Amino acid sequence: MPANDDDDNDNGIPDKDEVGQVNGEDDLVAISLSILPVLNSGEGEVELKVLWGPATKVWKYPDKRELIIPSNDPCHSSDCERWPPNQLPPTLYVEGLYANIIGTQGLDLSYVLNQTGHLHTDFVMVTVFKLEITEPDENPVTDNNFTFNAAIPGVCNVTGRGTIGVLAMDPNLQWSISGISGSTLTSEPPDRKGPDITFTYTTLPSSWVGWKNLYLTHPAVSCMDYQLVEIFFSRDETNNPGGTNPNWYYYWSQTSASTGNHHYDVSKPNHLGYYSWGDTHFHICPLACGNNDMTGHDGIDTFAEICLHEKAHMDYFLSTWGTWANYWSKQPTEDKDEGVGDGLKDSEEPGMGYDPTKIGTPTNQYRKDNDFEDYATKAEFNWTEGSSDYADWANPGHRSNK
Amino acid sequence: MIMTVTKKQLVFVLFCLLLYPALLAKDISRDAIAEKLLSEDAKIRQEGKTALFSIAQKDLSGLEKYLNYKGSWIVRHDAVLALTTIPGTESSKLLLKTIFQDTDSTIVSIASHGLKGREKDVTLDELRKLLEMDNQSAIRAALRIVEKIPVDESILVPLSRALENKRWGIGVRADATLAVSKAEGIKTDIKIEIILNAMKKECENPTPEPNTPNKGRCTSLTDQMRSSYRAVILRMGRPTVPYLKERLKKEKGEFRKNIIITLGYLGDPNVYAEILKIATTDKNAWSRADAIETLGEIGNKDAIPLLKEALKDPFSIECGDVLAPPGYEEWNIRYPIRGAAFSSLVKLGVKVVSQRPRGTYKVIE
Repeated sequence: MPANDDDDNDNGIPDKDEVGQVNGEDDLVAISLSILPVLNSGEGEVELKVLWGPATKVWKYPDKRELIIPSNDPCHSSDCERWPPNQLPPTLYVEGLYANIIGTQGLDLSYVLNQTGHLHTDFVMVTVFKLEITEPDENPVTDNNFTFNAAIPGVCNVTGRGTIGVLAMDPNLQWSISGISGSTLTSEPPDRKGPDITFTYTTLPSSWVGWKNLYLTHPAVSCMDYQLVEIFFSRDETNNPGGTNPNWYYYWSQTSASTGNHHYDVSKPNHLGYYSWGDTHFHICPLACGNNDMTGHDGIDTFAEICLHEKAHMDYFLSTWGTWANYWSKQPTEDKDEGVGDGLKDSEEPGMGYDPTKIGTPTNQYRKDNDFEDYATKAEFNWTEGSSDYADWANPGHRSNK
Repeated sequence: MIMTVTKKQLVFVLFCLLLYPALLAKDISRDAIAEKLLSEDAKIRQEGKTALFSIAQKDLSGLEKYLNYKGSWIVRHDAVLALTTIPGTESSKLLLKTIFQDTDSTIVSIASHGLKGREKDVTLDELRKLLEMDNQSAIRAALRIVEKIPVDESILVPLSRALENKRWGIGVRADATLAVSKAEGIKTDIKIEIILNAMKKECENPTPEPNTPNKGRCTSLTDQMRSSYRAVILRMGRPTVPYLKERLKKEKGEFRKNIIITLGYLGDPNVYAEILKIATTDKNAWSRADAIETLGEIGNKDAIPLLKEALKDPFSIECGDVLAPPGYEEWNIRYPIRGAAFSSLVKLGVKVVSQRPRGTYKVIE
């Protein structure tokens, strides 16, 4: 039987520690007691006794009302209870308290006949188990996080430790975990049996699904425990299937943090991103996985904000000027700020809150040096910090420390 | 008489099978919806989210269990997302409770964003608490509220901290500055005092540059921050001039320079001499550019020779994140002082034309 450490009445206390009735209790095991032929009172005494340790309790009702053993009866020891033979309850309920590492304990039903003093007994073996993945156990909270290393192809080892609470049964523990599309999955030991397991994923997938359940079963009990594990990629490595861009760019581009048509440009290591006048795409650069001085955010939020910023430049330019050649020819008459232009059409600037004679309007809230930059920076603040954390499988990243 | 041990063991195994769903629960406090939200199967997770949204629509108190779920941030994450979709004061209060109680920054951020459009549901006490939060999203939510509800001076201390907090992004600090200027119920002199004090602290203790500065930015972080403080004063306009002048009497150094430039932008002729000094001698090229730019606002034609000279100033910078295509790289180089001189000369009625390559100007005599 399982150790009764769940919480059937949902009050935050493990049921085994509850005193008194537990609504919804469904973990106690019924035992049927009877003596045939039926005897009268005075024809002896029946005793139920727990042997070899206090790993169980016996109750009159399945919801833990009326404790039978341990007994409070001062006439005999606490590990047993006695009845006249005609008052023997037909059913009692056994509760497993905790797994007994040496194995079983006994419930012994004895009947002593008065006239002869003859002793009749029956005996049942009880094994209380607790099938449990002990590691990872989210203590600390990140111990269920596993990360692909920098190797090419990348390798991620997921390790687990478990027990059924009975040492002799642990070698038959059976582990499983689901595969990752595009990765090969191996294990040590190869038969996936025993208290310790290492699953190894090799090769990063083309799209990231970091959720995996590690399952533990045992053939003797047909029960299961599982633990959520989270699989991460190394943020700054380049061992993704794309092969050249950093993992953060490759995988974040598949999340809601990504907007617009963008390419990665490693050649500008001191930029967050940029837009080349007239292009129908913009560029994301190496700094975009780090801090954004403007919003104070970092990681996937910075990436999202730079996408929005550069897209704002691109969308404005394409809808207003179309091509570089067109801008080049019209700038002297239609974008005259300080004689050289700032990218914003002079006729539109007052409506946008900008001075068409200046590249940077002195009342700009974010970027006094440049109106077009101030305009694009406003777009950064449309991003909701944290809204893509859920999909951030980078390490370091926004969920790798959770 | 009594069943044999073997038979009982069989019964036991069968019983265990019946117990299977209960045994799935590792954490004693998990429930069916939490189980789904934590499933590795995306479809099952979606079922969990749908169930959560359904609970949120029917009974917000039922959602609280998930908002307080200790076992996993993911459950709280999905619960707060569901909460943000529910209108009404009760859900606003639950959002605030989440912001104040949850220790996970992602949850606090999403809940803070959820306050958008609910500003009127927030009390002054709650606003004060928001401003004291160590979370930028909560601060930004608070700043939106400052602009939407009447406030009193009890928020001044936490609001001042938001302006000055170097851990926040400079844009957030700029937003905080703007919020001060828009706050209903606070006198103008106090608003200016707050902004000038923040500017003074920035001058005395500049925001540090990161190890790898972003080349998309043309000025230092501290220059940007000072110009953001200044921008808000400029938006407040000429009523600020007496306060600035009063402050000018007692200040020195960088801060004094910034007050002078601010007064210059406001067209105050009394700072002309000091503006000329900054325009010609200051070691910070962007300050020189600012000073030159203010000469057009002040409108003193004596500055014209200096401005003509500034059209040839050598200070150039290659920065920004909007770049010209190959073959036109010279377009990416800026001459801020020349540009400011051009702008001021035009304001003073001098005819100047811009020529290519970029940054080449010619005065038409």
